[in-house]
Amino acid sequence: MDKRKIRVLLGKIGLDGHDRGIRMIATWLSKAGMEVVYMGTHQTAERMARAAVDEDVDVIGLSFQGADHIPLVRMMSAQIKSKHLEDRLLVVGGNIPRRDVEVLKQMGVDAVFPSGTPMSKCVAYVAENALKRRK
Amino acid sequence: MSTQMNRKVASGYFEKAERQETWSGMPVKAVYTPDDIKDIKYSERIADPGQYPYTRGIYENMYRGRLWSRRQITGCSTPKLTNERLKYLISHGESAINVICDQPTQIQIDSDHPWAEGSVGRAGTPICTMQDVWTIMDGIRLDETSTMLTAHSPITLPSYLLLADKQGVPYSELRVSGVITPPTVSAPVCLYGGRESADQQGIPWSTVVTQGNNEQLYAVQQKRMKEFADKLEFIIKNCDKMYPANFNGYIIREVGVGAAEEVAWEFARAFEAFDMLTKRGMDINLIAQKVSFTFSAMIDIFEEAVKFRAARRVWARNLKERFGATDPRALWLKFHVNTAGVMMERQQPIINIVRAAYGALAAVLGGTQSLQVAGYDEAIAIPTEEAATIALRTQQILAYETGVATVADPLGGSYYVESLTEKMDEKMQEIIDTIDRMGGMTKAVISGYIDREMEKAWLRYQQELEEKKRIVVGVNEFTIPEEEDVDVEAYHHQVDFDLVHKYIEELKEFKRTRSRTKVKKALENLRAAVEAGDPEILRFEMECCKAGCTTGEVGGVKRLGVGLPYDPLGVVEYPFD
Repeated sequence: MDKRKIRVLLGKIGLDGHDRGIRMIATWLSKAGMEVVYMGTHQTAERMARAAVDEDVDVIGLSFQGADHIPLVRMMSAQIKSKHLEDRLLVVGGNIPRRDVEVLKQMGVDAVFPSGTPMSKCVAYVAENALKRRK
Repeated sequence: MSTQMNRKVASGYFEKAERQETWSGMPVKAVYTPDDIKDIKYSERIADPGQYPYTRGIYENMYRGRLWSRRQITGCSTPKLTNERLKYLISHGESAINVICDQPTQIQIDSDHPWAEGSVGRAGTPICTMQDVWTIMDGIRLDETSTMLTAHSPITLPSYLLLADKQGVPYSELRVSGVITPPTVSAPVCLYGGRESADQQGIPWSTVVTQGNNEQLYAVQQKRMKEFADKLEFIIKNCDKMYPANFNGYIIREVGVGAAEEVAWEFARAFEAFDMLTKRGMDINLIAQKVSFTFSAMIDIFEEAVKFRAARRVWARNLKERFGATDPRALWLKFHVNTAGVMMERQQPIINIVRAAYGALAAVLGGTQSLQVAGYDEAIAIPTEEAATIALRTQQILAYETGVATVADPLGGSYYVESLTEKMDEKMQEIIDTIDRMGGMTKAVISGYIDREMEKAWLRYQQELEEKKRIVVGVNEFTIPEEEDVDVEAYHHQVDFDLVHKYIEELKEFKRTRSRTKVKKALENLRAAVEAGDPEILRFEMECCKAGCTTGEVGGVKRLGVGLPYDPLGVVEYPFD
């Protein structure tokens, strides 16, 4: 059994500066014993994907508050494909309307945690699913 | 009924109100009596509305003199869509306007910047050219409409002045606030690109804090302060009805800190700017009357109303005692209120209408001059036309039906309200003094103190939610399954994004067809003016607008002029070398 800690990459792609949510989840995941690499705001999909390779993470987590999640997650999915990161868990949080959840899932997002989701629920999901597909 | 349901109704019937503190955590008693206010001297601490220290309001007759401005924040996906929404809201009784830019414009890059893709027109309107400002204001008289600008492009003020010229409106009749940003550093929050750029200084936040590159920040700040002072002087001289500098406490409150921090931190920022300006020899009476604030109204009605009452007194006292201001207009705290966006929840979104109404009530009980009510879909996107209409109607019900506008400071004299106002005042002053001891707000932010306090606040709030020590209806109690909830159609579902693509294509075409020589010359003159600390930077900015220079270009050469890179994201090179 893999004793290594779960490694999670978190960041905000795009130009939105609202980072309360993602910093909060960073704290909760760390408290749960995971290794969190927090990239900050103003990231690009390409930079996130590169960091996912360099840091050998199991999970990529993005947060959106600027109604820009659909175009930006599309860019992330393209990067995941081109860097062969399909075995990593891709999780999205933030102000995501219900009808966009399916759209994001079709782009390859494993789970969407809209604002208001208890932190404990996000942590439990990541703990259970982080290594499921990991090669 | 089932046994389980019977038990539930019985426990509900005998349920007690358990909280013993305000939303911000100030302890409160179960009941207040004359004993609680017996030491408060009316003439010194409270006084009639319109009398120092203005606890009860800055005007004698408050809303009988003038109702608050019904001013909804508006920023749709293109300048044209924004203009249509503004006209729609005005035709439905909005009495003033508030325009907010999208994220690329806020960090001063153009819509065709490689990193802007996906963000253009998503959370506000793009403004890239003078024509965009003119399109937004099309058909709106600048002397008849009070305009507020939130998070704006460097070309907004010059474009606005040029539009006034075109409309034949004298500058003295322009009614606008929020057109120039004071270069003192605010708490690192979402606006202006958040902590990645130190509040429009254009310096990457990470550089400032982690690499100790603060010398550069101070140097840039001094240069920007000179520009700010020069513009302020121009406005004092020429634009009698303009309140150019708006300090935004709302965005600080949104991260989860308390009511006292919201006001005190932004006051501390204003005071730091006043210190710099008075050192330059400017008159505090003239400066302070040109300043206004934006505050939040959260859900705790009495705490919020008290916050506004205490804020007025703290402001007046500090302006008088610390800065020696004597003109009443400088002692008046003038503010706009946004009902809190952060209290609007994604779950069961329709009930947000009630939350926003409570926030609006608190703002009016607190004597605000201007109000924006958040749309019920605030936790999802910028408001749809339907949500914006309901928000405007909420203001109108408050103004015309409820009777709360009839009497000035209707809460005055309440044992609870007066007692809590004293405590709030004390706490705000304590925080201001703490920041002063740190050397001012810029230093308090750079030291990391403000960020740590914010983080503590939001972690505590979330912990309380997780443990149900704090109840939010529909979020951690009285919840319903996701699939039974309302599936709100968001603004970005309704907008035809082909219009945004067309807008970006038109911008590219505009850049291709304008006179490159004229643009280059105007930008180089502006850059030289900024480098030399020319007192008429505004005039050079107006020349740039006329020549067809854009937000990214004007912002860019102004950054170059103070020794910063052209592109705040470090991607695009200055195109005219």
